[in-house]
Amino acid sequence: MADDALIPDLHLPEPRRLPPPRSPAAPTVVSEGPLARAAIMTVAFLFLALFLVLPLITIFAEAFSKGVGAFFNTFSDSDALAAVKTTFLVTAIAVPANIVFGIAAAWAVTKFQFPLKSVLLTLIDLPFSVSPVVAGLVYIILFGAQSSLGPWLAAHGIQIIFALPGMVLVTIFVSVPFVARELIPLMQEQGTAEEEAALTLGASGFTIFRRVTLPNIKWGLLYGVLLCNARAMGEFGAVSVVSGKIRGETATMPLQIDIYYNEYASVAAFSIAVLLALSALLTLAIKAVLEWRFANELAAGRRH
Amino acid sequence: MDIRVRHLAKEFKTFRALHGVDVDIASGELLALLGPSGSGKTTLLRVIAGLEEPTGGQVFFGDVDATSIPVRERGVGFVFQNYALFKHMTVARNIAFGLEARPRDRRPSSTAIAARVEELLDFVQLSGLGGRYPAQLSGGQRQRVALARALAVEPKVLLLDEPFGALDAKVRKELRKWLRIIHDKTGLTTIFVTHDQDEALELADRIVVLNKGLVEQIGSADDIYDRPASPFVYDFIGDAVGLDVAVQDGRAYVGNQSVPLGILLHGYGTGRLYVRPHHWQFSDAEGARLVGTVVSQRRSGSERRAEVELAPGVSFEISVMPGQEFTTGDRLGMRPQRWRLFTGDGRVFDPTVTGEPLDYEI
Repeated sequence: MADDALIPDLHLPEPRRLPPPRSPAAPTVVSEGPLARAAIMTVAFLFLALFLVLPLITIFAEAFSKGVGAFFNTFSDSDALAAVKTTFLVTAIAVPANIVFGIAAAWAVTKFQFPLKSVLLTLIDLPFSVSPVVAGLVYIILFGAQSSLGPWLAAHGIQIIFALPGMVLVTIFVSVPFVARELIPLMQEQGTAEEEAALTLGASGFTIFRRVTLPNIKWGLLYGVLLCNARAMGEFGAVSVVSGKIRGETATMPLQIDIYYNEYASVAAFSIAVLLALSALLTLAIKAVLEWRFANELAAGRRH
Repeated sequence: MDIRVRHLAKEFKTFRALHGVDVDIASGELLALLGPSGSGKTTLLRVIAGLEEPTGGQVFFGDVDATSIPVRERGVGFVFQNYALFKHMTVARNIAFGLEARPRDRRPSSTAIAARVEELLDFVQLSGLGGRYPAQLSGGQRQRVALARALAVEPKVLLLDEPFGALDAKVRKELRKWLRIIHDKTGLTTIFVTHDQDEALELADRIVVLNKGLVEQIGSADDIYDRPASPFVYDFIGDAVGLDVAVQDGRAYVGNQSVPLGILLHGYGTGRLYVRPHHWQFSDAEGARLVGTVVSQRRSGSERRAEVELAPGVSFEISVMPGQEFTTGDRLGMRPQRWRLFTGDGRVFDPTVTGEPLDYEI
């Protein structure tokens, strides 16, 4: 192998240093006059201000309307703290479960051929089209005291409805599409060539996943997890149906807001709302950073 | 490592890619799988690699039936069509991948791996580029990284799927010579897939011509070009025109003209006569030539061609030698110097057939 004299000189050009990938600039074909443009933009910004910014400001204004003390006072209430804890607990179980399912589903759909593939693809989207309240009711019918499973569950001391397991189940249900929907187009675009290359090089299935597949999908995955997380934390309808809204026990943050508001404790309600809004804003910020930094890798998944 | 492919068949859900293919590949041979798209050449390569499971037949590596050995244990080096380099790894990490992925007891030390990577980078003339990412390399350089990565695991067999498909013409030609040198230096049994006949004819020791999942012909470049075994190979390799002819007592009849074929054929039959453009000989001999009209002329690379019409709807191309000038409408007399005649029942005749008169009854 040391004999290089045989190899002809290929006159290879020095490779160009490519600039880091950026999304291409939007085309600037403008057919409207300046007046029309101004009008369209005014409408868009007015809409944003009226329907998005104004409510956001209201949340903060209401929460701090009786001063910073009253805001922090809310969180000395054990019910409020329990709600925060419950929300994080439910999210901490539901999101990892959906990561596992999302990767498995995307893997199955993009790397294998099997019958009923289109059925699986449609089913993944089902939670988007079913009302969360209906989803909650379905779980009550499946696992509640009146269901056929109910007596068996009661005899074994398993409580699903009006307890944490039910809330986790419905949260998984409503947030299930996010990870899979993000990964499927991305993995479809990438194909299986790199995995096949790793296979011919002798790598095991797990090594291929860890060293080839995961690095290729990590940003898309993170993006999906953020969306899934936001949905899991903010879910109201489905959780409301199966939780029974037991104060200090099965109330999540959105439910606790509802409870406080119905009791005219508006500062307390908006204080928790501030917490939710902040987590949403944080999610948006992370999402924006990801989109800006990894535009090319995410482009395949841009369908929302 | 010699490879034997026996009655290999592969059926996908909607179509049959391979219909019972038999190929023997000698140890250290450089073999080309040549065919148009849909001929099954890539499927054959992938079945040999173990990336596809055959629906019938066997693949032997030496004396071992490799058909059921999974890819990762088969010991093949595979270079993918678009290289399939790991985008998120540097060139050096790409090349090291196969060694690093080995189970702990067979894995070389990290210094040994680094040394091997350096050696391979040197071998493929990419020394100093180990820290680059695939996106920072030219197509030809990526191709060579893919080759180094495949060689790193010391495969018994090297398989390349359209190795030069994605490169521009000039780089292709350079890499062609280079692949031949790599093959001669490593001594590996090497199989590559191509749809480019020049590539196959120039590079390979032997060529397997595939069509619709069947082997049309296996042979050296000279066999394939000079003695095409079927009308398909005649059409696919080089230029040729097939004329529907009737043959009686050694004369081929085209339309209302006829020309002696120069060999003894008794009886009467029909067939398809294939002649390459430069195998037509101009002839003034009355009764021993076909007379046609020049209807157009064109340039094809270094060659000039004239389209000659024998009768309405029956025409073929001839090569025009330097110094010969024709104008459209000229009447030319010519006879085929070299040709092959394929009969409907699968027999082949050509001017080299000598000896006893042959029975041409069909």
